[in-house]
Formats: sequence, structure tokens, C-alpha cells
Amino acid sequence: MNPTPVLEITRLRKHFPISRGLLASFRRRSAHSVHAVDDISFQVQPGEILALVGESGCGKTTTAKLLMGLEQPSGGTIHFCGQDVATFDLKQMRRQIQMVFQDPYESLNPRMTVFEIVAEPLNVHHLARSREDRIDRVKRALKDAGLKPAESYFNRLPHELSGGQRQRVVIAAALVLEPTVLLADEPVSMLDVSIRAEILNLLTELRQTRGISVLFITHDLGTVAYFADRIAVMYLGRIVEIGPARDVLSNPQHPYTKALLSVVPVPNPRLRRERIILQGETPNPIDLPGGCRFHPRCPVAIEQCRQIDPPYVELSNSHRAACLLIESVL
Amino acid sequence: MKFNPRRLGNDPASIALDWRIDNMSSPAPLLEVKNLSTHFLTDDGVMHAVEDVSFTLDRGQSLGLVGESGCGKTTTMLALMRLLPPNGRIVKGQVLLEGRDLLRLPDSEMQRVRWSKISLIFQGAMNALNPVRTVGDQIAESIRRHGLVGGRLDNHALDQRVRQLLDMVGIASSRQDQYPHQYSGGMRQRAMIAMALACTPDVVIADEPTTALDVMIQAQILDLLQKLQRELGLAVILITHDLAVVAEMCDRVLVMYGGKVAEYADVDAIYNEPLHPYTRLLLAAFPDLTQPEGKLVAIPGYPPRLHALPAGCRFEPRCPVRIGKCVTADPPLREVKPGHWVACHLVTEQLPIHPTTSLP
Repeated sequence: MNPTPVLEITRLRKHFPISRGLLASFRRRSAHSVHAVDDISFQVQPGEILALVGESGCGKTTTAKLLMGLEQPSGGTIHFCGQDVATFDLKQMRRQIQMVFQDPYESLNPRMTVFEIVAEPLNVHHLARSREDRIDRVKRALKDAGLKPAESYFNRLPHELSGGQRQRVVIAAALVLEPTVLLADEPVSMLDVSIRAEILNLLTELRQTRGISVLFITHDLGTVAYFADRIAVMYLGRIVEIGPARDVLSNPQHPYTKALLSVVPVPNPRLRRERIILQGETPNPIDLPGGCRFHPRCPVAIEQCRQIDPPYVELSNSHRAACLLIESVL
Repeated sequence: MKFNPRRLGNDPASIALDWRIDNMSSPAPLLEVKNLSTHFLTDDGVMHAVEDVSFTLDRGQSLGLVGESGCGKTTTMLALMRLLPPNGRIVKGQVLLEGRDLLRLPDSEMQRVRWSKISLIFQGAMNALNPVRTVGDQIAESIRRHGLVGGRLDNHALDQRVRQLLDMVGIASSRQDQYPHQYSGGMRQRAMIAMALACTPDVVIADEPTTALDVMIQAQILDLLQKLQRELGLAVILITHDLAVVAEMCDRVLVMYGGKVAEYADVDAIYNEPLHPYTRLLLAAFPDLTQPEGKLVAIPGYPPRLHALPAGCRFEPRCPVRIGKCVTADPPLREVKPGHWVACHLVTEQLPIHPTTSLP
């Protein structure tokens, strides 16, 4: 029933070895490593918006870097449209997967005009057949990113643009190669509330008009609720729960998802809720706790959680979570 | 009026006196800001950063100050603390703290008010601490500088106080001698809060205290602020663009637009019966987890440039329900219901404003 997924990530791992000073480097490779991404699997379907949610240090940005080929995986595979990306060369892959960065104030070169910024990827990939073709493609990208009339932006510099317009330029530069997947790493967290809505709506539109898939990386479940099709919740390098957005939000199963949901502030004073506040911070991914890696902070942990690393429990054919306390309904 | 245990001595007479003061029929608010206006002199001309901002704050109360970037939230607070940069001028208004106008105090007197009466939790906890001094040392400094008139406090007592403050914000006192880089973002924000509380202020101004933090750490910090507010009877002014945080934390809300007050009311009224079109749009633009089916509305256009303000209402160029009058006349701030202030011609003239859903 499903077409080939655009992205298929299978048991992906990334461990960063840490050196322990000069002496240790004479010995064999250090036994210690940071388990940034530890055995994650998921798929992204064509035209789907998947949100990767978790606190800082949970491995969501490392996952994005692995997908972009900025890091080499320590294990596992990434398939793009059915083909293993290990067989691709970098350029081929990056044409298909483009990234939208967090901070439009930092990610644009202040001395390049909007045209130069958006045309740059075309030069890198030698895609424009002629001058006219280049202008045409840039124009189309700007238009799709909601900067109209496109020509009026050609010669402007980033400092002449507002935050929302800058983020649109960043998106246009990603769109100009006509990629299949957009990786958006916290694309609205630096923007004002009034502009956030317009960028989120733009991403939804792009999915409809261009059939682009979006992998949306964020720590804010509140924003995700509006437009993600599916949500994957990460904790310490693992996906602890994944499922359709509606199911994850209305019927969260993993205690971590429940806690994350409970602390999202709700803009209605009549709905002040009991918050499940986890104490402390995400533990150091070097010394991972044994058993379930969430057990030291888990409000409902039982004895077995210290020993057993919980397997996934299928809650429906598309919703699963890794917790010993969940009973399968299937 | 809230009961404030810190004002009571052991002497029964002073208790009686305090009660009498607290029970007076119309007690003066702790902090009252009247028509505060601030201008900046720049190369582009005079910027009207804050114009006619008024509000009151009682003991133990929390006020949320919301609006887009550049609407004058931070400037209002800096003016109130008399900490404006050199090109900033307070051109009008009063800041009454327990009836005393802070704007008329001599500098030395004002220095004493800062930190011991009103203190500030700065934006960007990541960068507000000095990286080359220990956290404990920095907290001790704020006590030494502002806390004690005459500065008589031996090192042992100072150390005790620093430990007590760290304990209050949930930092183990063993970490007193560590440097900011050894702290996580959430802990640095806790240290900033400890510093702000060092001299037992009555009012704490928190400027975007959780903006750079993860949701879980944000919840921890907000929880801590609420706890301290309850335990110490603090009045808090929370500056933020996050409407959801205000809904969870505040009693009163002041919505600012282009340097002026757009709407000022109880938190429930702001969220459930908003009257100003800007407030309505702001709410519609904000994601609400409990209503994932709703569509997010973007507010068209941009905030006004503060040196080229529109002649009439400052929101008029972006307002979807403007009428002719809005172009020419600036709407005054009116109390339309008890405690609910709005600056909008449509509201004061009782013209229908379409519900948010019909806004484009």
C-alpha cells in the first residue's frame, strides 16, 4: 500500500569516541564514547512531515547531520528512495536533501545579495544551463518561498530584510535545487510569534505544491501539533515513541512523552494543568544508565527498568513506544 | 492586599501597625507606573520607544508584559530601573515605588533601590554571567554591592547567605566555587535568579527568562519562580513574547504594540475575552497544543518603525478591521470594563469586531 519511502533509516548509530588526554591516546582507542544516536529506525514517506522532538542532547541534530552526510554513521543504513546512500556521492545526495537552518540572522552571508545567495547552490551543482535558466530557477524558488514579486528581492542584502523574509530566503536557497526532502532544524525558534505562523504555513504549502517531505527537528511539541503528520520523540539517542501526530498527542504512552507534553505551556489560563516536571537534565550520553535509559528520571519507574532495555511495544500498526509498563493492544 | 510576613517584626506593636497599614481601604500599590514615556536620540531622529505606559503592581502579584520584538517591553523596564543607555531619555511620567517617585531620586539613592527593592533577571542566561569568576563569588558581589548599607558583613555570614540563596534556587552549595562554564543553561538561569534575590527585593523583573531553554528546563525555571513568588511574596514582572508562559504564570497582562499599551487586563480576560484586534491576532498566531485542528494565523506586515510612526493608531497599517478614524486619530487607552483597558476606536465606540476566526 505504501510507496517506497523517501528516507528509510535502519538501526542508525553514531558514536563519538572521546580521547582522555595525551596518555590515553598512546594506548589503544579510548573505550569511552558518546552515544549520540543509538540504534534508531524510521521512515519518511513522500510528502510527509515528520517531527523529531526531544531536549538538547537527545541526538536529533546528529541525526540530521548523518542524513546530510556531514557525519559518517557508526552503524546502520540510510536508504534514499530505496537506494543505500553509502553508494551515492555527497553531491548527489545533498541535491536531494536540503537543510533549513535555525537562525536566519547567522546563516545568510551579509555581503551577498538575495540573488547570489539563492543562485549559489545552482553554481555548486552546475545545474543552470544558461543565464536565463539560472534567473528562472531563482525566481521560481523565491516565489515558492513566498517572496513576491521575486525580482524586487534580487539585489537586496540580508540586512534589508526582516527576520521572516530572511528565513524565506534560506528556504528559497534550499528549494532552488528542487530537493525531495527538507531538513528543518528548529526553523522558527528564533522568530517572533507573528512570523512563526507564516513560516509554518509556508512549509505546509510546500508539501502540498511540491510534494516535498519535511523532517522537522524541534524541542517544542506545541508547534509540532499544528502540522506534523507523524511525531518521533527522542531521548538520549533513542526514539522512545513514534506514531501519527494525533495519536502521540492525544494518547501518549511513553512516560517521557507524557512529561514533555505536560510541560508545554498552553495559552489559556483556564487550562493551567498539573505539570510533570522531570528533575535534573538529560544525563550524559557517555555513561548511559543500564536498563531503560530513561529510568533515573522516570516518575513511574519500577525495579525491572534498571535491568531491562525495553523493546518497542506496538500500539497500533503505526504507533509504537519503548516502555516496560505499556501493554500491547494488538 | 496580601499578607507579607517579611514586614513583621517580633514586636506586637509593629505587627498591629503593619496590619493597620495593610487593611486600609484603598492601599497604595507596591509599584505604580504612570504615563512613562521614553525617547531615543538617534541619527535617524527621535525614536518614540515607549509612550504613555501605565500599570500597577501589588505585592505578590505577577504581571506579564507581551508583544513582538521592538515593541518597547525591555525599554520600559530599563526606564523604570533608570538603566537606559546614554541616548535614551525619560521624557515624561512617574514610577512610584511605595509612593516614592523613583525618577526624582538622586543617583546614589536610586543605586540603593536597585537590587534591594527592584532587581532584574537578564535575558540570555548563557551570557550574563562573568566567565572568569566563580558563581558563588558573583552572587556574593551583588550582596556586597547593594545589600548592606555600610557593607558590614563578615565573610562567614556572606558565605552563609550565598549558600542559602543557592539552596533556595535548587543548586547544591558544593557547586558554589564552580565557574559558569561548568553549569548547564538551566543552572546558569537558576544562578541568575539567586543573584536577583540576593538583597530580598520586593519586585523582580524577569526579561525573557526561559527563551533560550528547552521546554523541560523552562518548566523547571517557571516552577521555581512560582515557588519563590509564593514563599517570598515577590511581585514579578515577566517580559516575554511567549503567550503560553504568561497564561500559566501571570495575574495581569499588558500587551504592548509599537511602544504603547494596546490592552491591559486580567489574564483571563486577555485570553478569553480579548478586545484589541492585535491581542486577538497575536493569540491566533500562537500554537495551542490543545487545539491542533485550528489554523495558525500570520499577522500581515511589520511592526512600525519607531522614528516614522503612523499618525493615527500605531497598529492601523496592519489592522484587519480598521476604520477611517484609525488613520488620523490615535486611540486613547480607556477602561472599558473594571480593570480592562483597551486602546482601540472600535472598542470604545462599541462597533462590532469580528471574532478572530473571521480575521484574514
